[in-house]
Amino acid sequence: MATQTIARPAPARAARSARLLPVAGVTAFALLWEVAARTGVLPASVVPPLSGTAVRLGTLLTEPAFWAAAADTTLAWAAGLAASVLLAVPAGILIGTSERAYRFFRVPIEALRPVPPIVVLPLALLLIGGGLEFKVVLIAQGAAWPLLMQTLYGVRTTEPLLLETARAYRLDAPRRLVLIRLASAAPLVATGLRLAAATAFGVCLVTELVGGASGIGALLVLAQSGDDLVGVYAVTLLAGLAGLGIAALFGWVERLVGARLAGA
Amino acid sequence: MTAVSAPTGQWPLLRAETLAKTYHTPAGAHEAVRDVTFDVHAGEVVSIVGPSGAGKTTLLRILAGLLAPTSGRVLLSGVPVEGPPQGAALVFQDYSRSLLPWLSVLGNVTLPLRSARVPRAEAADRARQALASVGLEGKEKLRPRELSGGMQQRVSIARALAYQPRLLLMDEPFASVDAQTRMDLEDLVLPLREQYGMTIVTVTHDIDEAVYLSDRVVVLSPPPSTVSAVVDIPLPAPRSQTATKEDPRFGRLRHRVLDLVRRPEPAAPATTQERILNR
Amino acid sequence: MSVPVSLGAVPRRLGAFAWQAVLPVALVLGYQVAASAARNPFFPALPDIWQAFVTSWTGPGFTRDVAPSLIDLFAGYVLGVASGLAGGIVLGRAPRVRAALNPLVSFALTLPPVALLPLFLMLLGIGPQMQIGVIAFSVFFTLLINTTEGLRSADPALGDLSAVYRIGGLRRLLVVQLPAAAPYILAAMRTCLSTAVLVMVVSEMVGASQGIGAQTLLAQQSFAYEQMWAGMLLLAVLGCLLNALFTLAERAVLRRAGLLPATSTGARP
Repeated sequence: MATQTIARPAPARAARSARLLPVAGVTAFALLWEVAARTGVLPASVVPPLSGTAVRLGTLLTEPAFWAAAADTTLAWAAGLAASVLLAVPAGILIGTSERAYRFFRVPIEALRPVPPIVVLPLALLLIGGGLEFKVVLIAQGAAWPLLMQTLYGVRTTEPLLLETARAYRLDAPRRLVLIRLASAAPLVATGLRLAAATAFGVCLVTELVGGASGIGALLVLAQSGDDLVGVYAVTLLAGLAGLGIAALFGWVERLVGARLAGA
Repeated sequence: MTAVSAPTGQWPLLRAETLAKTYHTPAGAHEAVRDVTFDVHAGEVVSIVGPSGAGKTTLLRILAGLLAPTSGRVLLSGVPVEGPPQGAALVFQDYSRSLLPWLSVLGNVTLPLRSARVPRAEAADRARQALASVGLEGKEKLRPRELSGGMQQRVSIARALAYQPRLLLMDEPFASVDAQTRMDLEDLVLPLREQYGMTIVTVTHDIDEAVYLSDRVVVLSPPPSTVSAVVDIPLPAPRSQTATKEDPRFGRLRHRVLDLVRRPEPAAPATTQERILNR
Repeated sequence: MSVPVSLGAVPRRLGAFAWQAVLPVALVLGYQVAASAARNPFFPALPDIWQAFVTSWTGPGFTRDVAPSLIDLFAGYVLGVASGLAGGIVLGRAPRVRAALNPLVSFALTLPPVALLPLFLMLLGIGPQMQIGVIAFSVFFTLLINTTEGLRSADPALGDLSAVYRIGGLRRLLVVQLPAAAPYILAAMRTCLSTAVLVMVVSEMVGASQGIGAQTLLAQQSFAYEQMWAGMLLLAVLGCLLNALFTLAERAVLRRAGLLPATSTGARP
């Protein structure tokens, strides 16, 4: 214990190992997977070799059917996310700026927030079938929650001194809203956007898995019902990579906004 | 550094030997401590003072074994310190961060003892005694946050006392409490030294406090730190907030230490000549 | 903001309460009036939904559908929390292992848990083990990363304290480190509870013939709209109730420990 606090690796060495360790980790995992599957430690009925899965992933990328599915998922995800932004951010600003409005909407918001976003799936399936519209509606209502909560929180926690200063300098209401309230809420809204993007992807997959809408989720169901384990692994891997991409993209946006506006 | 040796030829309780510390940051190397050497003998109270940013806390962390020096070494009774040594306790500057809010006052004080496998009943006894000696009888069951800042720092001191250390290190121990509480705590510490037979090394930026509490004051130069001077404080014991501080010698010593701290020129060969290492 | 203590305070407080109650009451009444006027089979009246709720989810319906759902939820959640906590403690103490596993953990964390349903369905077949498996998986990684983060971001003063007073081993973990990480761990557990309910419902919709989710989807497919609404109602109440209970427990635990609860957005770094 004592030596642990004392020992500090030289900075250059630490930086190098910080870069190398993740690479080593992924390589080790991949090797372990391949060897375990090849030697039969993990039976092929549970884990097919990584190489076979990678090859399948490669062929998948050459199939037009895959690209059609990927396009369906991407379109629904983007449209749903955009709709949730258009819905939740203005709503959050309107409700958050006025204490009276906030109190008026507080109870339903607090009650509905923890409700899983797929509760309305059966009703939506009933009313609008299983097409793009259905996906967008479901995604939008699911992704709207984190955005609404973050926007509300951001607008409501604006530094009161800043608002008073703005009023003292007789800034007009639109300027106060944009320059003060929105600017100080922006980092939190960016966090909400990251959460919403992840939620939107999850809900999108649910609509395809349960509602039978076309997309990556439908490919998964197809592979599963065809008893195609390698296919299921390949598509699941792809879904994970897509999730990672979404997280990276919106994490970058979040840091960008945070760096520009934090403490504003 | 064979020139630095205890008068009797025995090891002093604590020896700092040509300590240096350079931090490596992405912005480049920062030399906080360049060359610090001093001895502390058993039973002494020694304060380390210096201008702000003089690496006082760095130095104390090195003495406590929390930080490895870039060069030089710390010897406790002649044994090199590698990691926090047994028999040394540390009172942290920030009581609110060093007391565990989820434990009671008694739980906080007994934690190190239970960790050292002291039986439960004995640990509780020692803790109660220590708490009583800092004036906190009857507060055992309270949580730290139910106490005032000064009382929380007393709990911190009681935790160190119950540990029965040979060496008590204190990092700006009274910096976070108000002036009145500060005097109370200063007067609390001196008799405890006798009672518990401890040697005390404290870091402070308060010259008055350093002179008032100490047998000797180690003055650090501006960073990178070296020892500008070691000033003996031959004020009579017991010290008192009124009599001691009105003593003209107190004023002169305070003046001298203040001059040494404030002297504008950074560490130069001249300062090392001025070192007064032994009494 | 603050209401001054005066004779006017009581009516004003009552007024504030009434103001908050307007919208919920209006929504419920509005639905009832609209539904009974429209006579649309997709939107049954409230008494009919309530009737279906009682027949579907109490008595034999409870033992057949509600109880298995709750048991799977509980088992998967507890399994995921326990293993995530254990793994997080290991990673929290081994920075190199943590760095090496970081890309894999990030991958598992950003993969929507529902995407794993087909895989788990193939590996574990239809049955509670599949539901429990996916729920546990969805909880595991969030707990893992937050426990690690909680331990890692603890105040360095606590590390100094443990080092100086030689507090080590299990005592250090249980008395110093885990309580300090508790706000992170509890926030993660709260987030995971919502995810777990969602995964439970979807897993039942995809691969089960019993359970609340399965029955609700079945009701929609077999034109039993009152029953479908009863299912949606139960799921909504369940999500709401579990979250409320957890929040209360979390606050109580943290207040007892003299700590502040972490915000929900801090749960997934």
